[in-house]
Amino acid sequence: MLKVNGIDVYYGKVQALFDVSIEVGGDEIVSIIGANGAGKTTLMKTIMGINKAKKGSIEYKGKTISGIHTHKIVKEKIVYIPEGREIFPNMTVQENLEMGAYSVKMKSSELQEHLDMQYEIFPRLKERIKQKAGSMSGGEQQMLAIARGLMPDPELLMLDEPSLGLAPVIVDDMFDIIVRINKDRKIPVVIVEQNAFMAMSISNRTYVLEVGNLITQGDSKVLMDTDEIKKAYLGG
Amino acid sequence: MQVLIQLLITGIAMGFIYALVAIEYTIIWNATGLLNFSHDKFILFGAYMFAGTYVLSLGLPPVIAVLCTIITMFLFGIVSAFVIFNPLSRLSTNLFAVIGTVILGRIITEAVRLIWGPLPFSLDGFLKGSYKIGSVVVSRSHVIIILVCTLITVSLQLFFKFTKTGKAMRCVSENKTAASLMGVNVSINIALTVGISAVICAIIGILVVPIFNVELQMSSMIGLKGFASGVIGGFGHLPGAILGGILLGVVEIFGSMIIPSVYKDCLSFILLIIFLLIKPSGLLRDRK
Repeated sequence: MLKVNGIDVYYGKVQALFDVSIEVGGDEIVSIIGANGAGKTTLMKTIMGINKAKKGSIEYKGKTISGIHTHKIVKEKIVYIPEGREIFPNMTVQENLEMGAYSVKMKSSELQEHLDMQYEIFPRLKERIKQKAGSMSGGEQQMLAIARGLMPDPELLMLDEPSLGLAPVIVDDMFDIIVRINKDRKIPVVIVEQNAFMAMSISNRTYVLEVGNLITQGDSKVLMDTDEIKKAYLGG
Repeated sequence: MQVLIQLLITGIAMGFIYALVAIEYTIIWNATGLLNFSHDKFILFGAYMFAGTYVLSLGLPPVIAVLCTIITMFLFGIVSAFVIFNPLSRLSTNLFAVIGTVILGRIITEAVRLIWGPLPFSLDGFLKGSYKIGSVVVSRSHVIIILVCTLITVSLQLFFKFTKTGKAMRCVSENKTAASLMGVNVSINIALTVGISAVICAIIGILVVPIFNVELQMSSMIGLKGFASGVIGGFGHLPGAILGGILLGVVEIFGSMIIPSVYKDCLSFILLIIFLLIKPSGLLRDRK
């Protein structure tokens, strides 16, 4: 479904990704792990057209999407929930969710249905419909970011560091929800995480990035047992 | 007593003009992070286009002339967004864009001088006259200014709150990357914002035609005072801009009763300095 073919990405003169290829399809969960600065977010942003690849190509459902504008890639129903949530702090929770559906034409009844759907998954948000999004806690903001991402009925969901800055209990909830979304909607999910253990334990496959290079990939369970990964990413 | 009421109405009317100026540059600031230093020239351009071309040369009735000016200035705003604001705001520092807008202002002034000539002129009969309510006499142009400005500020608020495009504009001003991830075409959105701003400038220009002569310096002072009122109200904050504008207009008119009226223009800037010293965040902006 999504194919990244050997992309090189630069920030100015500094190369951030070296010949990286990944593939996502079916209804699997794929995790991309790596330390800070490994290029995980760069990879996501390049898929979304925020960064441009100097070499290589990105295909989605057989169509080349590298080089086209972000707002057009969004219309292909690829949803990226960025690192640090990037909600609209001065807009209300409901307005944030409505903006999630901006790229899709919806009647107001359909819009309401979609809102209700999110409030069912995240009852906490329902209590805060009229509250300014920026005044909520980190966990609630992350929920809002995910709920906003689900508004346009994504066909591919990519989450960047969904656990960042959250209390351990909430991290567990968050990953449960991600697994549930993947099961209920039967859509592929990509998770980018520094929290390698969590991400690998819920995903089918894993890619490991190190300073811009894809160093290994494979079945998450198998990888979790290799000494290399254990030592470098799982703390033992 | 009636003198006080008359002065108050005049003050509020001028205040609304300053408020509109503040709104007009605030929406561009919010959308692009740039100050449009040519904003007073947009006002000038709108006034000349309306008075010089559509009314005097083409002889159109005022209502049609207003519509034509609005449409022309909207297109002018869109074009300047694609030529100046969008490309220059992508560069590494905002300095290029700032200089771009300053130069745009120079270009407009010189173009105005070339097209309509350096001599001032006025529109006889346009929004002239006065109403008498009891013993209070208010000039027609001031009443129109208050009505039109209220209409614009209210409809802008509704536009930002309830329309899809308006909400998208708020998203763009909060977070451009996130807005594009929602599927908002940021460049077109910014162009629309600049277009709307240019329309407001044109309306300001038209509204002040009966108060000032149509001449090359007509908008410099209201441009500066509008800027001051935006700062006093709370920079980047629309309700603050309105409040700051009206405060400035009223202070100015009552101040001129106490001090010689030649120093009237100083008052706004004294007020600005006081606010910068005591409450730099402005009247309505407490955050940050």
